[in-house]
Amino acid sequence: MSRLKFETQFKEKLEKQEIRPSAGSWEKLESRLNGEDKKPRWIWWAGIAASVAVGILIFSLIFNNNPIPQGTEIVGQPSTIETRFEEKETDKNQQFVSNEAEFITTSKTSDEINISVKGTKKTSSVQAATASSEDESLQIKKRKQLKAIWEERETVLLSTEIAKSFAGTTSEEKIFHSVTDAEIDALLKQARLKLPPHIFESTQNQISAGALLNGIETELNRSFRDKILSDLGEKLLEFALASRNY
Amino acid sequence: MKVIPLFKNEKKLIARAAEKNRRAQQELYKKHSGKMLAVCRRYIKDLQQAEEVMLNGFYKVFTHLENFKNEGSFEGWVRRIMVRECISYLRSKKKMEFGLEEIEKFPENFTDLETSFEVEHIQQLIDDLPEGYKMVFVLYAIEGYKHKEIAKMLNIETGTSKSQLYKARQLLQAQLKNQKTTAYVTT
Repeated sequence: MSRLKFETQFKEKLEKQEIRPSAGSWEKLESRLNGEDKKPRWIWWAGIAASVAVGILIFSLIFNNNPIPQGTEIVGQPSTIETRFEEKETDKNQQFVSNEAEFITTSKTSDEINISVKGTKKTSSVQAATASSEDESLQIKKRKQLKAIWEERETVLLSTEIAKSFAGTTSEEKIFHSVTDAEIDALLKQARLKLPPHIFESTQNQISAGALLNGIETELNRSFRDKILSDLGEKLLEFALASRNY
Repeated sequence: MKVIPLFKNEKKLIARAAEKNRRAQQELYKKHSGKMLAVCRRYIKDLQQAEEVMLNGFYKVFTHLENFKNEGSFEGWVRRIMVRECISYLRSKKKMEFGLEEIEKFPENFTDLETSFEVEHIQQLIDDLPEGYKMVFVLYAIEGYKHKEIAKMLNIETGTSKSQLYKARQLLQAQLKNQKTTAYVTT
């Protein structure tokens, strides 16, 4: 169907036609466009708020599912923090008792309990470690702490014949020069024997942290002179007992 | 008239309008609103309604300006949007009714008349047509769409589009004869 003549003429005339819109037509259109521009921003802000809320929810779920692992010590707390750290299926059962004054480990490998004690000036910073690295850190700590203790006692012991005789023993001499792990263990065994029995909990063969702390605090509060005299006296007695038992 | 700079200017204007530059959009509106209102007026008899539909059309133009890829003329793109808006409006008012009869082949017995009518007169003649006839007539004869395209736009059969045009032509011719055109040529 081709276009008829009058249709072509209609087309030519109508195509040139322009009708001017009313005066406020652009303002009407503009207000509609402005309303449309505002909407996306609102949606944009709503989207941001929704994603922030989802993020907070996810974080809270993550943190609730992953509590702080046991055995982690918080440094600086004045109160006694006692945590149990169970290794993998070895015979060792280590109990960490940490506060400002104590660091105690117990071992089930034998009936004996290895103990180390440190002064209040030093802070403990024990963290839950893997079984392999824990032994190393424990050994290092034991070494350091024992060295500190024995250095402190050295001034008392060396001034008397008893101190000389103590220093004369092979194992004790080695402490001051080069301390090996086996020697440290041996010294710890000796120290264990020297501790008063009342600090041990009778039921579990474990050291009562509170009792030991009290003992150490009492010890530290005494004057140096009193300490020398009392130690000398105690050492004499203990040495006598030890020598008798060996 | 400088064509090249004008084209360049409109391209920039369109780019700025696409960035929601209100000034650029206003410039485009001022430039094309006259023609687009005339387009809408061909389909919608009431001028106020036609303007409302035109504004709807421009709203869609400016909110979807990123879809214009500079592949054809901007005016042609806007015009197509206006036509679709007019069709939607008339459909919503249920003013378009198409006869069910379809005619594939029409007798070619039209007297090819010449007219010297003014635009307003022509527009009045078109306005007097039934809505269905008018729609197809304007789309085919004035806008230049093919029957297949018209059928798709109006959701009718191609044969229906042809029959509607045929009937529109019959009515218009009768009108033209009645109004005593100055000259005519028989086919």
